[in-house]
Amino acid sequence: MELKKLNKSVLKLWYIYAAIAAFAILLTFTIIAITLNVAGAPGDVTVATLLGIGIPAFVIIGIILIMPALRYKMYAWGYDDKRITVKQGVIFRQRVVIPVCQIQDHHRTQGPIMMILKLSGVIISTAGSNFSISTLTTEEADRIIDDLGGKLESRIEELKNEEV
Amino acid sequence: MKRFDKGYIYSALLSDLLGSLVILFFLMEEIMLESETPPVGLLSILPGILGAFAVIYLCFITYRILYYMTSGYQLTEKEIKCNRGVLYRRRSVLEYKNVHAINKKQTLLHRIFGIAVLTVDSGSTNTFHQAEITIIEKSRTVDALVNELNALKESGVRTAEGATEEVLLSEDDSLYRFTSKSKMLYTLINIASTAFFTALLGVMTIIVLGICKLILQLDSLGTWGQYFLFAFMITLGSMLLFSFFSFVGCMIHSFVGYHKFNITKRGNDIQISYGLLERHTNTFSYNRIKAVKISQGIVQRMLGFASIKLEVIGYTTNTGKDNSAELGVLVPFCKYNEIGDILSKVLPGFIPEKKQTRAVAFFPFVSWFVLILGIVSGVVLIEALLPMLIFKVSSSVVAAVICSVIGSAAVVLLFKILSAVLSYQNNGIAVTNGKITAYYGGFTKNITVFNAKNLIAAESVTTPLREKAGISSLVMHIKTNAITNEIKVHIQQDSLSEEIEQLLTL
Repeated sequence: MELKKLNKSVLKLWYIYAAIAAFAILLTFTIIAITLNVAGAPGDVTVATLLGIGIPAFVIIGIILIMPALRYKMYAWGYDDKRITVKQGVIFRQRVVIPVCQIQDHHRTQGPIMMILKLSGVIISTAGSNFSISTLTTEEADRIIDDLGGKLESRIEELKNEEV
Repeated sequence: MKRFDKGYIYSALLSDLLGSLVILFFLMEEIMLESETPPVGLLSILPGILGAFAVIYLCFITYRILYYMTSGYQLTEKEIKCNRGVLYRRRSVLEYKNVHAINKKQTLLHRIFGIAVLTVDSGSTNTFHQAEITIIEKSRTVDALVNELNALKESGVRTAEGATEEVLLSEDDSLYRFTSKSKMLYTLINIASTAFFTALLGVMTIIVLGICKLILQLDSLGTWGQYFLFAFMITLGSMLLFSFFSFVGCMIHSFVGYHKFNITKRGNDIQISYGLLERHTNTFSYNRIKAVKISQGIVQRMLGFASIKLEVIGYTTNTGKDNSAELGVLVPFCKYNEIGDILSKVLPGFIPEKKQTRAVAFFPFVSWFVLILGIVSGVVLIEALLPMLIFKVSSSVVAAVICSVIGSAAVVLLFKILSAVLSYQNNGIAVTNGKITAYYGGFTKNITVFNAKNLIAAESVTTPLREKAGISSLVMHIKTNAITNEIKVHIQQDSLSEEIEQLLTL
């Protein structure tokens, strides 16, 4: 089975999410700095507090901004008549194989930014776990849902015949 | 549609009354304790409190009567129907052939009024938090319904003859008995576990405080002799106190929660019954059992005991409120070497096989943990030392902080190494004739046995270095409740993941 890479606009989406998270951290840091200044905290206390919060905050921001590119590089997915395969993970690399005949239902999800970028997430439910194909173009998501529905019906028929 | 038994109203109202009186008692006690002088004001507010109590209790009465009026059930030709709820009305329809588990529950109040609660579950994961059908009827009627539904789930159709012949089971039919001796042993082992972990915590505290005393020259802790004497006494006292609580809890759990614990076979069904104050009788088909899980805590492991649980969709959590005993328990306590005998009688298809593979390396069990622990400890040290340097804190305090951070990290690392050694010994897998036996866990050793047909997805997890060495961890998703359906077998040969993928029903 040939595994596909995600669409380039997915990387754009992940960078938007990363930017929002980094902005939130920076904003919190700025608010703390202003509060200390307004409250007239002694210089030592201000420096100690800002260093205490600043070092981990900037490390986290660095990681947040690097992750989308690495995640995008490692992500691959694909499906055929019998199985869906998803490979993902930067440090811990996962490879999940889900048989098509185990699918109970699938869902397409969209947030506001995803709507603007015409992207959708796909969640595949089985009798026990939910698996997600991170983010696809809405067109791709619709196609996979239709395709898997059809494949599931024909596979169930095949399995019934095998049992007989 | 037949209404529930009227006993429901009386038992529910009595239960509400007892609950309300307890709340009222605590409320009054609070008021009495707050006022130091004779509670003159209390008399003036007493009618108000009683009035409010009466109004609230009237609401309960109205709700219970409305629930009784609007709820009911009906057994049609092919399905069972149930209506319930007052504000949020719920109508459930369950075909007989889809009946998965039939459970009878009887609390002490139910017994006083001669009623019982029957829950019928479809095994759907979408509604696993509660059963689809709930019927409150006279205890005898519930017994008859249990028999009838057991027969109907096989045939799928209800004939005009109605209820089938009742299958009477006695204690002699029991395949396993949780005897008083076993219950006492179970209690003693739990006490030993509590004492062991309390002692461990005590020793760790003594060491940490000793280091602080040594570096900071803390005179408040007395001389070294006094320090060790007091520390020993406090640890011993804590061990006794916690062991006492453990003893009381375990005695209630085992003697009351598992009172008359029986496992019986009824054709294609297995029936598990237990409980003194709240009696449960749970019936479900063998083919609904997806896996059997054998667990051994560290103390149980040292003494050669284990517990056996069932993994069944929908079955384990369908009443939600049960605190006395777990619904998924098959055998609460037994000798480890008796597991084969017990399972051969109850579930012969789920006897665990011997490990065919083992963890291939020890280092991966600790490598990432050591790295993360190092980073976290480093960040904590920097975060702690920077302000101290800015504020020019004395060198002895700085040394104490460094020692405590390094000491805490060392203790955590020690625990992790112990857990990793146990994981290294435990992790493994056996595949024979479509049956998978997975061995996993660290301090708690777990063995899960399931059929390959119940494997719904396979996952392999690796890192770049492990990939080069041909090592991966295996995650198997099985058909059970969403929370418990992952079985992780760590640090195995890469080829094992491919072998397991071959077992998936594609």
